[in-house]
Amino acid sequence: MDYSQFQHPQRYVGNEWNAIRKSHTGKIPICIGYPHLYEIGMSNVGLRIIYGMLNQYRDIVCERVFLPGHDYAHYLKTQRKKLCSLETKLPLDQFQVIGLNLNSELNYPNVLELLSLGNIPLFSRERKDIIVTGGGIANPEPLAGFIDVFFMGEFEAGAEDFLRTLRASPRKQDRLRALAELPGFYIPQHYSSVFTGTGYRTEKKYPFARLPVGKRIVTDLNSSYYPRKWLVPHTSIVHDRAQIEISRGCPNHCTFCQARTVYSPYRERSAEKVLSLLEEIYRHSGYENFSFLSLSASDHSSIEELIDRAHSFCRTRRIGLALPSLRIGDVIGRLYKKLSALKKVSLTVAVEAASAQLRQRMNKHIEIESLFEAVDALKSLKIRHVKAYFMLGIPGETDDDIRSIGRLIHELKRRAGLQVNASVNIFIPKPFTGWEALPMPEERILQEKREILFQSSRGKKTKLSVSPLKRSLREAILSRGDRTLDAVIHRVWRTGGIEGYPGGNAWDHWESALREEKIDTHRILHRSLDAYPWSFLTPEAPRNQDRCHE
Amino acid sequence: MNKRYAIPTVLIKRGPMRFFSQIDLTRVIERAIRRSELPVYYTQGFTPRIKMSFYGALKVGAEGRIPLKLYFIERIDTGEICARLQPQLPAGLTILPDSGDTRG
Repeated sequence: MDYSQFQHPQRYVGNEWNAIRKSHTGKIPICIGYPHLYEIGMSNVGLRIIYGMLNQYRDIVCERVFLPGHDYAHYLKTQRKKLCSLETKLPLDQFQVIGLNLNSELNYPNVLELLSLGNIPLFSRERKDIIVTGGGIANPEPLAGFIDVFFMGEFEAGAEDFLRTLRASPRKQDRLRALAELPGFYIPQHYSSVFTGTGYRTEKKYPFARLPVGKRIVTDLNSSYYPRKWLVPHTSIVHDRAQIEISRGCPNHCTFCQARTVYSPYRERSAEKVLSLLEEIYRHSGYENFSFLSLSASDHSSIEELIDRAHSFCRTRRIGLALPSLRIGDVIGRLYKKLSALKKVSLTVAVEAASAQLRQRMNKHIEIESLFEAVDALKSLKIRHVKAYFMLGIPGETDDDIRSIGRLIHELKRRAGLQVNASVNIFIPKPFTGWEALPMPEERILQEKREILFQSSRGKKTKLSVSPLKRSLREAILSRGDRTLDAVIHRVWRTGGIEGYPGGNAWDHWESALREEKIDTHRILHRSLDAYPWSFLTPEAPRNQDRCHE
Repeated sequence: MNKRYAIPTVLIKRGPMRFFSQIDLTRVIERAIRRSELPVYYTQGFTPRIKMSFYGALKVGAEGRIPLKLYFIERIDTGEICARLQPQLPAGLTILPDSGDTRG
């Protein structure tokens, strides 16, 4: 195959360093994928964990697939060819299981494009043999018609059960029946979901289905699987570095945050373990850049030791080391001396709300004003600019709260001499957050808020990017929606609403699909209910049950 | 400043590696050298990089030979360098000592 007729032909070769190629004879073939382009999907750590872990089993062969570029997709359609796995170029419909990581709601139509290019029937009920699994999202209901099994939680803790079920029977219905009795495997077709007028009621259709479904978690990050033979692409990807997860979950309780619930409870990997992973992954990959992965690195109980020892390993080998999610107080306080040894320090601050009062309400404790007093520290760390994240449309937000974003940016420039790159996202009341029951502001009001923000925050040395309104609405609808959205997603896919494709993210696709399917978006976005489509799921980690068997 | 020894080699690019660009190749060679733990020479600037000089480039999709000079801080036999690098290269890339007749 001559891939050079396509843009970025590197996407389709599949010869990455440490890619695993196995014979398929006598093995159960599983293909895992990410419903977006190669360079985005390959940046996902979860996919790498599952890839390495499943390939450890002798009787399993696990390969990868990503959404091809639009030119390659067009070629496949017009030539009547099927999308294949990267490793052995086996068509998708030859696998017994397709496993998809779905961590962005915006990618839902892409799931259908990926399956359709692989000649796999889109609706769960139309598929005879192949099981399509999904994971990585909090509210799976909008995809309920398409996905056979949603895995809830961390697959490291459920893989043994899953594989045992595959080995026990080759028949899809037997497999689903067996999975139904295990915690963490949500099989939508075994449940019904109805809107009663004041809320959603989810019920089992069969006595063997589990309710609650449960969630699987790794109890000990030190003994859980983490890939050492890091897959190294020969071309650049979005996060072009080896990433080492130093902790999972978050000990903080910000009201708006979905990640803290979905990844709960908070667990740490020991400094010893992180450093041995760093050494091993470097030896196997030769990667010139590493980063630590964590929702809140500052909270790691050995963060100082970690930075010290990782830095001394990286310095002698000229490896770049990036540290995410450090608190401002730590960057200019206790970690300042350690950070100044690093070559490049960037400062990213999730401010969320510029007014202290709003931050208090969302239980977000940061010390943004301390930057004004730390000009010397910032200078010696060679920090020239700060990246700041804000939210717009927070419950209870006043016009003056919005203007305070502009004032804060201005103060950071004037007093700390920092250029500010501000990224403003529109608040979405996400499932499983403290604010899931709050209505999202009306579109008209959000538009006014945007105007106020632009008027008050423009200026020299400021890069202001605000998430497009329609994009946020799309994300909000998909993350809060119910099962009736599958028809919308199907329509959007049919009209070409594919993220990453030219014209794919246009609102027109959604507007007409929502209208045709008579979807009540007001109920999804603005109404308080006594139960939501996702309320039957319990992502908060159970304390003493559903633990992984280690 | 470290003393450096230039080692002339030839890189042969074919098969699956023909789809990778010249920029990709520098990445592939750099990581291969890092994995081989050869005593490589780094550029001396603010951002040290592994020094290498390609004498020519091939367009994406084309197979062929590219003369490539590598730099080390110790004197090492060219044959040994190629022998230690080859196992670290993906299928489709071959590195050989440059006999001298390939450079235009």
